[in-house]
Amino acid sequence: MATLTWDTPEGRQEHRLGAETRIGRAPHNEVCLNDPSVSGFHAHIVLQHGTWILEDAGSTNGTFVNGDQASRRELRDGDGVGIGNVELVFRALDDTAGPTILWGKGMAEPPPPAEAPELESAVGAATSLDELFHGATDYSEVGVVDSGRLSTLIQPMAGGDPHQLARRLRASYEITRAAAATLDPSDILDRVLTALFGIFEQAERAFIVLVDPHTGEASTAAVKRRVSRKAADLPISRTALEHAMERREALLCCDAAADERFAAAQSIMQLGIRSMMIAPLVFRDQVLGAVHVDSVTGVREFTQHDLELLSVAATEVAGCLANVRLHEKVVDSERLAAVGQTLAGLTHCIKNILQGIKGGAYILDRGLEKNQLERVRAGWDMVRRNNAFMEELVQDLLTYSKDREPAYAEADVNTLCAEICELCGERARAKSVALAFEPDPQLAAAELDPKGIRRCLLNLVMNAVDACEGRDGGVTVATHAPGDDGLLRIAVRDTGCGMSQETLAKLFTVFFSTKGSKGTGLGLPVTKKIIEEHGGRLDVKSIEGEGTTFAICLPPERTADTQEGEGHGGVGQEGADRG
Amino acid sequence: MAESGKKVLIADDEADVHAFVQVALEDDGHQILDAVDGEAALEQVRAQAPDLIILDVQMPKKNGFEVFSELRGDDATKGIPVIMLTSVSARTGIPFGKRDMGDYFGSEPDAYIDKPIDPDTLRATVNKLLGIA
Repeated sequence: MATLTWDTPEGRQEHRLGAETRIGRAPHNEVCLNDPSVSGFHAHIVLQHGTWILEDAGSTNGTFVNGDQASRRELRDGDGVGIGNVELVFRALDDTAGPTILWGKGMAEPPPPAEAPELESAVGAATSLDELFHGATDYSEVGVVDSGRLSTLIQPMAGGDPHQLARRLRASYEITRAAAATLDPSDILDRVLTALFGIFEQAERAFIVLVDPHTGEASTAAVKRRVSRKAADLPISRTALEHAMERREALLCCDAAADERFAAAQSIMQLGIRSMMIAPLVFRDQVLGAVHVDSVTGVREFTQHDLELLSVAATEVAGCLANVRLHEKVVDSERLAAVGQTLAGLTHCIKNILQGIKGGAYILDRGLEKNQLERVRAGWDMVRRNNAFMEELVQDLLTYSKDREPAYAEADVNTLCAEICELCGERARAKSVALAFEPDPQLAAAELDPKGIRRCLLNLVMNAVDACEGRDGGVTVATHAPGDDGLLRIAVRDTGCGMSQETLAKLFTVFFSTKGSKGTGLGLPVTKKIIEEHGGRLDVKSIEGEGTTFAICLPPERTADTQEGEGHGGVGQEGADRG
Repeated sequence: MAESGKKVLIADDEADVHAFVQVALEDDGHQILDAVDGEAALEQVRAQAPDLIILDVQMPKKNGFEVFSELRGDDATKGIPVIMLTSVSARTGIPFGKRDMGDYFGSEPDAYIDKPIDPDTLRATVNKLLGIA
């Protein structure tokens, strides 16, 4: 059975939906709404394959579901349907499960209050909950809800009604799935509320209130509603929330607005809520907040079974939230450690450069004092070199710190390598290291960022030369046209000192350097990053005491991946045993 | 320029630092010896028996800590005053100071000078440890 209910000055109207229900201002519509904002034939609801579909019939002012404009939408129980300015509530009721009203108008006695365990710590002042009242209600007027009447402590379900047990299991599963799907707290809350709406068909609004762990203040962290905005703007009961959190009890309130016993207290009645449940979010000894679910229209009320379900859900949610907070703490401390390490590495580099600049300036000054031109030159050279080093460091830091798209241009890789070999030739000769170039004549021009690849090559060749220093070794740069994997290859081979497994493992760690004060520890991380930005990869083979080969593997032209700005490259590390 | 006859060893892998120390201490007439790594530093100490050692921490082959602990572990060298040039350890990210040295080596250098080195501080520290001025 499905119904539409709406309020008119004459009272609440209800219409039972047939196979097709037309809604509009004209009298022939099954649901006739006498409101100027409603079109003659505004929308209709049809039953298709067991689901109720709402379709706008080209109305002037539009059709809305839960506040969102909809031209065609499947309706779910409890959805708020907006026809022009008229708000209706859609109900698709399961006829088999009749709700159990725990306390309602005309019931003789509420069940006896359960013994609440004495808990020492209470939640902090929930002052910011005031905001939930939208200013309209005088809080002093909101009577304290008698916990004896309204609260019930959750006890293990007696009897074990299989229908309820299944529901409970499903609820637990749904909530766990929702809450465990992500580590983003707001996303978790949103998913939980969606799951709660799935579990509690009668729920029209759901709130999650969280207590700030630092200030102890409670505030709404997530809201979901499926009733018209007007009804959704009804405040929630601060008193009941505080009660639930302070006493760590789940609360159920049924048909409160109609209950004469609460009329004098102007409590929930004044808030206009007909049925509500609140469950505190408790993890270990900490109250993290509360979940509040209510029904403003009160077409169907919450039952004790529902409250049990909500309590189960609240336990799951509290566990997940606690987990997320712990995760955030860990991430924070890891981030701080990483920042600290980066700063320390950077400080070291800068201090060495400063040493060079300061030392150079001092030597220059002494040279001027003593009129020694040679010393002036030496000092000035030192300043200039360290200045260049500083520029290089800043450049490397910039390259490393942000994602950038390679500045593609057509380039001849063989020419590029020849240039680099020439550039490094002087340094190699100074260190008595042989430097050879073996170009592959088959290698055609490639599309790459010449400046970036130059930098990579310069880093690798300089490293190779340094590795050969004092070892009578040599460096060979060789190019290879694309092979089976479609990647062109530039290999930088040295017969230098090679690397230990320990060094290999830290190769791409920023600020890790085996060169003492001569290395910034940025060269290889930057090289790897530039190559990956090309959609390529950097291979390393090294045998300690024998030598190292780095191979830059690059797609010969821009790949679809790099065009989308997303590299798929990685670093292939092959151990010494395979080298 | 008075010849003090004192030998000062500077162990640092950066040639710029050698040049700087040379110039900073030249007016005091010390003989400056240099070493570019930790092993070379220990060789120089044994061969030349310097009167004072200036040790950088980050050096190839053997770092300043290792050199320092070998020097203090050897009766022949444990009396030589050592000035440690400090910066920050890039590997651990931990800035080290006097306390760490004491904790790790049970012994401390006679002085620390932070990089970038101030020439006047260097001169004053060297001469004080050598008992000059």
